Amino acid sequence: MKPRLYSKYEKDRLSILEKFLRPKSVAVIGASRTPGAVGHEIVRNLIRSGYPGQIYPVNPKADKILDLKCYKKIGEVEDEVDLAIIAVPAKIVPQVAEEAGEKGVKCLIVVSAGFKEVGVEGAEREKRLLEICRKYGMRMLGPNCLGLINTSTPINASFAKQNPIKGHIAFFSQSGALCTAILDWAERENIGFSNLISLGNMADTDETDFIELLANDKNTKAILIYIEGIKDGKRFLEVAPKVSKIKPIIVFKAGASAAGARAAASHTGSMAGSMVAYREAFRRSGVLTVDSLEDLFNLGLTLASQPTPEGRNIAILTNAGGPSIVAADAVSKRNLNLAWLSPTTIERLRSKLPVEASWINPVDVLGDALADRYAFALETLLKDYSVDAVIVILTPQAMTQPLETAKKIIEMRSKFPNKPILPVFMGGESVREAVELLARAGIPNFEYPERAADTLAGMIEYGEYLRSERIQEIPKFKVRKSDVREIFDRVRRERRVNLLSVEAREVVKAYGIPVPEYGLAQDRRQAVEISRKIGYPVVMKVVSPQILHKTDIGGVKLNLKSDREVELAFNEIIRNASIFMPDARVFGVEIQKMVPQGREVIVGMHRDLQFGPLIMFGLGGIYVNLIKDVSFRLAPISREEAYQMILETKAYALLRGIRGETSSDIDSVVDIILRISQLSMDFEEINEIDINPIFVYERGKGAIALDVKMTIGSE
Amino acid sequence: MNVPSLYVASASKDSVGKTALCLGLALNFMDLGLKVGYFKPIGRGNVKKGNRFIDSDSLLMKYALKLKEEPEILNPINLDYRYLETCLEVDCQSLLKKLKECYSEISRDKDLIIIESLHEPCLGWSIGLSATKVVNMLQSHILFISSTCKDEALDEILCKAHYSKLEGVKYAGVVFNSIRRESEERIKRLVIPLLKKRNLHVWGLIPYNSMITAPTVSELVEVLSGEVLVGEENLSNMVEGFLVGAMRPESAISYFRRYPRKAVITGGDRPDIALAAMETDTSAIILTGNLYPEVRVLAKAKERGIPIILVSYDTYTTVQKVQEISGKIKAGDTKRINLAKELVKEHVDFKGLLSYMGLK
Repeated sequence: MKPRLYSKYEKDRLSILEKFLRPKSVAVIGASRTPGAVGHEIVRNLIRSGYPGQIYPVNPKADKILDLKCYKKIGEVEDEVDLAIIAVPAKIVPQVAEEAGEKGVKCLIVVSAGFKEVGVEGAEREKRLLEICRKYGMRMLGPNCLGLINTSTPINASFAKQNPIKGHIAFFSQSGALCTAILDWAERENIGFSNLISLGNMADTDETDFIELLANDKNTKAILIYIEGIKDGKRFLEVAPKVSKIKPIIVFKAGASAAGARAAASHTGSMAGSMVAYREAFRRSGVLTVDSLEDLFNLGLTLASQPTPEGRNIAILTNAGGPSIVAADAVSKRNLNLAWLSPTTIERLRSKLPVEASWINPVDVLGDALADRYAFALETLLKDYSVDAVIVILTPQAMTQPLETAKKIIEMRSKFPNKPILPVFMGGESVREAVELLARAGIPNFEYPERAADTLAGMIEYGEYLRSERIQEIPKFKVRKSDVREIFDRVRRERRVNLLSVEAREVVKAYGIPVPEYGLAQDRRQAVEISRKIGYPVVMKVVSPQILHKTDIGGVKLNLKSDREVELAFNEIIRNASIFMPDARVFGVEIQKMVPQGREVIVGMHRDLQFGPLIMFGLGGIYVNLIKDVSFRLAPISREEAYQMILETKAYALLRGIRGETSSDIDSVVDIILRISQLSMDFEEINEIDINPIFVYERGKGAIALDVKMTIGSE
Repeated sequence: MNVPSLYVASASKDSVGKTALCLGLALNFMDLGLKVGYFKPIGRGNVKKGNRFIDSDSLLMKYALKLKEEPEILNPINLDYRYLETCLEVDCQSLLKKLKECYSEISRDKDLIIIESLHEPCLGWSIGLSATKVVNMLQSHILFISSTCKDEALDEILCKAHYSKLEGVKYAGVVFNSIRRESEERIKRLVIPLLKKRNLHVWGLIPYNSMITAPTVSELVEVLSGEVLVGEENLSNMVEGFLVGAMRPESAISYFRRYPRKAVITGGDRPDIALAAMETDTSAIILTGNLYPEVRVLAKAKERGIPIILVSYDTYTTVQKVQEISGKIKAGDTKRINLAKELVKEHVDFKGLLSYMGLK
């Protein structure tokens, strides 16, 4: 059963976008008679691609272009125009877009450059262009893009030199130049595409629009994306998880390093969210990520043509020892298992293979193996229920039959449609023909075992996503929302963004997170009053937004047991603050119930620019910066995910108890994570939360948030 | 010369907000239908007019209170920043005469005059124009303004009040200004009752307001001789703090979020920092070292309406220079003028002050 994806409204939106891929008629505004000119190449590509609809070149100075009747203005075209491709100088783009709007065009592709990417003037022009699109209800691809190609319509609405062959992968890219490079490479490698889309400046449509659109494109079996950043993180998080359930989405995200991010920032003119947030967003959406363009295509092509493995157990079939060891290493390095073959399989292999062969995994059929021996061993392995996928390594030796072996692999592929086979035919000229044959059969070859293992890992990850049920319930706690609203209003009224520690604590308390009893004292008499009320022993801390390291200046006093001690401590804290931080604004001294030491953990939140609240869990204490034992999830978080967060860290083992220690109250930590998740979803103005430390006690005895920091956004 | 008047003076060296208080009081009095004059006997020549230097406050008041008198009348005497040489030359009597003449011109057909002191009452002593002498001559009453949040404030005020008394000067009381939230409670609970015991009435407590003291972006541009690349429309943005951006972009966001309405100082070769700053509440971005930024940074700044200022100084020099800047209400600055009025209206018992002066 196909999941139901779209509401009526979404369907209308999609049916307009659909016209990008399957327009009934196309106008090329700025069509040119001069070969080599962009406006000429687009018309030529439309014709060359065999586009079945009407093509209307528009150029005020020409009568005919490539034998097609040319129009002075788009308004002169008698019939309806679905799609207009604009290839005129940037300055007059808004004007012709306006004319297209008046004509009733639904979709625009603006290939012209000279917009946001060239600076202030261009950005204003882009804004104007977008306003025109909105005014007429037109959708726009670009500006500053290569165009798009759909091989099944077929339509080549781009000025690319190449015209790709049909295939099952869709590729889109924020970089137009990369599109041309990929097209060039694909031509040599005989790789076909269902769609190729250059996104350009993404003034209107972006990667998410096309992910959504291609979900229903039956010719597309995998969606491959090169991005420098996601334009609308929220919508991506809504759309991508649904589409991933239908077909794989594979992303190559550039700008992962600090230097890369800097380059991406200056290239796109926008600040990307953090890499951690991207990783989490992709993970929760079932979007696969790769680290290279090579992996992008390896994984994309394989997923488009092969089933996902049902488990992590990999068999390796080889005709040489060395490469199989490399493969075994590669497999285990990526957290996959080398399958334990069943006794039947071993027995069958042993009975038929030469005595020198190896019939335990990796199975070595020896250098003299002909295609038949490969076929026998491969079939035997595929039949084994404990094998989920097979890597077939072939090194060209004296007697090896690469082409024949390739044919056997193709045969086995159709005989065992549920188990992927990843061929690693190593070498060059002697395996070329075999590799081509495999490619034509939709079985991409891998030059090295590591690449095959990378792809397998991605396939398995995708398979697990498909099987996972992400209808996990997000818990809703009963909280005092209006109390928090009140605090934030006050902070904003005072034009602050950083909450005082007492305010921050009040906020988490309103969300049901346990905090020690406390009060804020302005003088020593108040200090004593408060201490008596909450009961001795108490802790005292200076409250000042400027004093970040309170202990360092003598701003913290622990374990105070009497009125006298409290009075003295109050004076001393104020004195220390006045001496060491004379300019600090001191709001008073906070008095807290002294709580027993527990295991220290941290829970935090950072609102990512693209994806919203990113919740963090980690080990606390003084080594936190050294050990960096942390895990992240994007909010909202389910109970399972919160538990998973803890499980991912070393802190888990500590909380469970090492060598006979009693185990801590992990459930109460889960609870805190979930409540912070709810808090950050409820209040979009919260930018940062840091609860450090949280003391976790023995199971059943809870956890308590000792120190809370919070920053909200100014209006 | 019997027009009632208030002489506003600072109670201590680091007290601020005299001009704002004078302005706020005057505007609120005017709203009650009174004809209010302004006088600043001694000023600091900080604005050039022709070949002379005049005090910018007199320009402001002429503008805000719509006074017909020229700045030379509103502020007859200006001290240079080095003025001791003047002591040898001036004739105190002729200066006093001049003050008297100007004041009587100002007070013609006025209901009351607000007189602004040049900072603390002690200034002017060296040229024979001590505050007490002037106040006595003009038969005014001193209103102290204090913005000290420390306990010493009390001593400062009491000392000044005692000295005034010795000199036979009347004092109207105290207004606390620019008081941070954390000190408010303590002043109300302790300082005000203690002052009352010594017969010093506190007419109001104006809380700290960053919009009054923070400089505007155009003030930054002026001090830094910067070039505004984009965002001219927002040069009136307030700058409430300065941050230097030199960290990794990932940490930059969290850091920038902690400081609202700030100016970020960074190099033109750090588009990542500039872009991160633009994602947070930023009043301006100052690019140092004359490094022209990428066009995309400018385009984004334009889109967000954030001024980008190119300066030729290196980052260190820029930081030093901006630290000297503080906001000053100037003629034409309707935003701050209105704010001064509102703050006084809300936090000062100006009607009480009127009846103290025998008006109404």
